[in-house]
Amino acid sequence: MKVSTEMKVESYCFGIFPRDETLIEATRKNAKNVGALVAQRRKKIMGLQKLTYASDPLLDWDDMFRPLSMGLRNLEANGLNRFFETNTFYRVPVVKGKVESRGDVLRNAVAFQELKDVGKPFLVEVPEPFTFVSLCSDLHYGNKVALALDYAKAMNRELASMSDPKFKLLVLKAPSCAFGLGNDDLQLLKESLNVMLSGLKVTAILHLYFKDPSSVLKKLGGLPVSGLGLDLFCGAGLSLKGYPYDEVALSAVDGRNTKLEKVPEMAGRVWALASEAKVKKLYVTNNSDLELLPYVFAVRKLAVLTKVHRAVERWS
Amino acid sequence: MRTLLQTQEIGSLKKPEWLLRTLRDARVTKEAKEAARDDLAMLNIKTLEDIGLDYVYDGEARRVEMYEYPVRNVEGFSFTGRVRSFDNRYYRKARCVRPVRLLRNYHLDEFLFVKEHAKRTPKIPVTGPYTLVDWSFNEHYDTRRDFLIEVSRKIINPLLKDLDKVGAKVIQLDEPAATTHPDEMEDFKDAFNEAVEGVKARISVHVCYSGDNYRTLFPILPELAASEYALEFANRDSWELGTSHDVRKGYSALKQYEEYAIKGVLGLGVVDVHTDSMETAELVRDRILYAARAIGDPTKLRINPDCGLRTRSRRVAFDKLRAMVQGTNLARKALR
Repeated sequence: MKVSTEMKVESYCFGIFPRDETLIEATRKNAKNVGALVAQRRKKIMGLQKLTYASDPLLDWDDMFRPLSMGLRNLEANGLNRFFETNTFYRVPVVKGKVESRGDVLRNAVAFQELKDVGKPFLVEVPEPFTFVSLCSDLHYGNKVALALDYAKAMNRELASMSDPKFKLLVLKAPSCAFGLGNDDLQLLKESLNVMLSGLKVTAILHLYFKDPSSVLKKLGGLPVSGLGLDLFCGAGLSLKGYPYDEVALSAVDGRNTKLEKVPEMAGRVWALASEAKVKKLYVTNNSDLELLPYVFAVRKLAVLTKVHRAVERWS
Repeated sequence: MRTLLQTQEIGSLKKPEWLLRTLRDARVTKEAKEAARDDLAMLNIKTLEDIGLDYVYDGEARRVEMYEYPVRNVEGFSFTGRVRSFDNRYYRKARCVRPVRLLRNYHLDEFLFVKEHAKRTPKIPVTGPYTLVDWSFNEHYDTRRDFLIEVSRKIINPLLKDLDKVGAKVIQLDEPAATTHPDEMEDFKDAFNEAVEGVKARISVHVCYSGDNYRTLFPILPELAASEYALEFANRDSWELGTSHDVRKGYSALKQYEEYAIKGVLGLGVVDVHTDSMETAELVRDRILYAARAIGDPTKLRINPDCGLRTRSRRVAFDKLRAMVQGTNLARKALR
């Protein structure tokens, strides 16, 4: 195996973490202590993250758009739609007018203070503009580019409101990008990411998941991000020769199956691909939200992720 | 039995509070709980017959729901927690951790009960192999296809053959997950055909909420070993009367019936199971007349709700079925 002494290895877990049975039942009964339970469980899960970056497990997010579709101006959360090829459904954000920031929607939807207090760098995650326009229902613009740019502008303001020395990493959730991008889509993605990331002093990683990224990889150079996050559990023949960025995030655990990964096997695979990509920094991550697993298995996956990170770190 | 526009339910009806209270009560004996289930099954059969359906069942009175109930009767699965369906709604999702083996025919007793008590033809709904596999985690089989084919061969096929032996004439395989993974439609088809191999009963397949207006389903229908396709349309349709393409936009997928030279009977979803708003008989009539014209042959239509009605109150569910039967009567008159 090719050994690099230059590659830095870091780790994080992004996405919505599943609720445990107590929290599910408390939420179902609309119990008075739901808020306190969420805070308690969040603290516990953040404590389990023995990773480079802290992240909010987003326990009170009902889907990846919900606080945004209920908080940004002129958006509403409406009917249910299947979330890609899963048996989980999201409420479609409905665009009823010009999408605008309120300035504090995202900051109020994540545990900003807890992230700042955790004592290590933290990440924040949001859907990127192409995925947003692909999954929303537009009753106002009739033009994907205009909608994407306004969403990007709104999110730029929301993200800027979270400025903090420890806010180091931005995860851009981009499942729709993995399912194919035409030339116009690519242009839309590039322009809207430029708007969204303008002036932000964070490393941005565009995460593609739910589909083998091989077919779109070559198109994704030149975006204003530091690297891509790639799902290693879709397709078997991923090659990262000619990978166009200095950083890459590779998934060591599968958020869609309870089967626990073997640490040496995943560490070897992640290391080999990162070496092939010739990147300066490798992030060891999950492929998608762990909420598609029962709680106890998400906790186990988190432990596997930590072990894979340590194994890869030893090699570097 | 009528030959033109036969009517049917898709499967589930809401369980009444009195049954749930009885089942939860630790003081009630197992025998008394079974008797309560019998009472509900009988009540459902008779109500569906009184409403005028040509095919009936027991409203799935004995089943927890369509996934957990079968999986609890199969060796090789382990339930380990809940996974979000949407919002704060969760379902129990099992892991397959060992080779699958049918522990008992979990539909046999309920079918025999319906057969004994129904005056109309029973149509038994059975969760299909693809949905069982797609809604489970696979930790045992090397590939999803291996898992799928094993569930077809070792669970569903013997179960259907058993039902055949005791006189099931119509079996509906429920496959709501069928179009979840467009890349796996060949696997879905192969698994389905394995599941019904050697079964003499008439086979129907029910697929709902495909998300793509059935674009991935229609191309494989000609190769599917089913003679009926019970599909959902009403929830995407307008509530206006009329039989024009513009008004009946929820039924636009029917263009594919001709395109793919579909030979089987269409189970036409004419009432929306996700709303209490009540369809009128005239709206049902117009949906049927539009579909009859779209597929070119009214004798290839059976009439049903979009899906099982368990999400509606029993009163709303029965009113919807009455509207469906009345609208079907109006359509019959118009077609004669």
